[in-house]
Amino acid sequence: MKQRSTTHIIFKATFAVLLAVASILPVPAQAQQITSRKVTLGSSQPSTSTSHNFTFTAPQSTTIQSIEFLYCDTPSGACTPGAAGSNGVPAGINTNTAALNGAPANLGSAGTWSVAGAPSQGRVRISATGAAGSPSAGSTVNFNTITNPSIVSGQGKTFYVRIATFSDAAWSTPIDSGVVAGAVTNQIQVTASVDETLNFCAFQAGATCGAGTGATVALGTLSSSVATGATSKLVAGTNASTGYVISYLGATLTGPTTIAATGLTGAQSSTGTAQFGINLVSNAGTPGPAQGSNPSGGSGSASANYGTGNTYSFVPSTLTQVASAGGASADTVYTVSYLANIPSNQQAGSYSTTLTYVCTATF
Amino acid sequence: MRVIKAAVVACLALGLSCGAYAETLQSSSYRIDESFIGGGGTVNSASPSYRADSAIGTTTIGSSTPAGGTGRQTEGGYVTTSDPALTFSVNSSSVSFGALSTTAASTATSTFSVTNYTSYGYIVQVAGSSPSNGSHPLAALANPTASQTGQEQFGINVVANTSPVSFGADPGPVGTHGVAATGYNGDGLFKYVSGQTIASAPKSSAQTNFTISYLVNAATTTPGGQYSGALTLICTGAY
Repeated sequence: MKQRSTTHIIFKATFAVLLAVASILPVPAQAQQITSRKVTLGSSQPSTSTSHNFTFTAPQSTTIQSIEFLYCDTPSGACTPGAAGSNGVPAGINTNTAALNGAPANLGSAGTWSVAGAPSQGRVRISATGAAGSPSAGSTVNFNTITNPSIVSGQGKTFYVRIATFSDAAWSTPIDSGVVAGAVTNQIQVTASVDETLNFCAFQAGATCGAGTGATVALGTLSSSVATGATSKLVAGTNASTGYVISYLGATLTGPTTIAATGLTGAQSSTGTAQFGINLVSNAGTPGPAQGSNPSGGSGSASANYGTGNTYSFVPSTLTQVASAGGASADTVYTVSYLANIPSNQQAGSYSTTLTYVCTATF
Repeated sequence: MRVIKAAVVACLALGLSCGAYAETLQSSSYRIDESFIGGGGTVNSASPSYRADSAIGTTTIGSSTPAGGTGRQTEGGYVTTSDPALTFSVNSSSVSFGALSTTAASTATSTFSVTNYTSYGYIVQVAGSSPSNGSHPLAALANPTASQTGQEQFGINVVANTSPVSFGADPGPVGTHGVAATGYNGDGLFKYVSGQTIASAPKSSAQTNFTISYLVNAATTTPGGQYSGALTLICTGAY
């Protein structure tokens, strides 16, 4: 019993001494792990110069005057900056071109942050001499023009950035640290093709190519006192990027003699005068017949000289443009209005012509 | 007994390395049944609200969630360290639609996978312009939209679709935490906005396999020619 009491006293004394020693030893600040940390890449494409934006929260209130970002193949272990692809630094990476993209945020107050220190591949250092205050949550440091690591064909690549904060401006007195992971990988190439299309048809009656019928426009018996009119239809549509042009080619009305065409600039109806012309818009009549319609659907329109109501143009035997679309267009329905007038001495007989419409798309 | 306790206290006070000391921990609400060190096997400790799983000698990380799914989670395992772990793989580097049609939708898929540990989750963003032919990009769908033939459309989602045809797949396997993001998680609804998040996980997760479903429709006015574009997937883990 006495022996146990003595042992008890010895241990109590030892314990007291140890506690006393422990209480007078300096207690260094403990490095803590940086929290809420991440790196957001502007692009995950390998070997591409892009932005690397860091967000993190320093766990301690100690003023930060410098920070190091060390790019490594592994989150821990050997990683010595100096050359890409060597000593743990990811292959293909280029951090020597890193530049701050805007001022870092929430890193305290005062001081101007800048990339500093001797360039060493795989390591980016920033500092702010005179920085003061405490960092707050959600600190951000954004870099641009960092070249992503390269990859082996067909594989992705994970890399790690070891972040360390320092209380001095020379990266010598560490405060906290943390590691983030980033990844680069192949892009996805998406391809498709669209076949070139051109939908064009001419007919006398109907509204669509599929439903259109007839290929003859009958003007009937011409008169020297009443203008004669008739219509036909054209439908055109294309996915050509620069659209299409519709032209016509044909002689004027021809029989025992010819009926004079109205020419390029055209003319309004004049009864008793030899006239043959066309246009592609609505004609209210007076002068001339009330006929036709404006182009509908798509983006096509009548060309100059063929787009004014009651005015008819016709250039014989010359390929002449009457309508167009400036870009890809859904089907446009055109109504071609024909006008014929004759003088009283127009030689009797049957008059006719064949008009050929040509639609040319440019892809 | 008191001698041993005194020595232990002394070790702790000096920050010295002390030997393993184990005992059963228990209160009216929590309990750790036992400690186990050795190769293989798992040891689970659980209460109605909390559960801790440890996987020892395995190459995966044990993930523990109480039955209700809303309580505390712990992880332990052979590969568990405080270091972040991120594996991101794009498994299809090209997607080809061939010739588009104005009367039928064109569809295709590609896949990617993400593994991320010791994290607060991750997001996957997509970046890049929709496929273009010269200066004409296919019209990207700004909002989740159903396929409409004859109308120019380009969009994606990250789930299984039953419309316009059956294609794609939900993120999986079941038990992993990766999910399709809002806007990209509707069956038969497609969207494409560069820079948006298309998938995410709210916490550490074993490998989740994602399938991107692509939809393209052409209009009669879609310029003819070859269309191409490069989509970049960006995975960002939070640690």
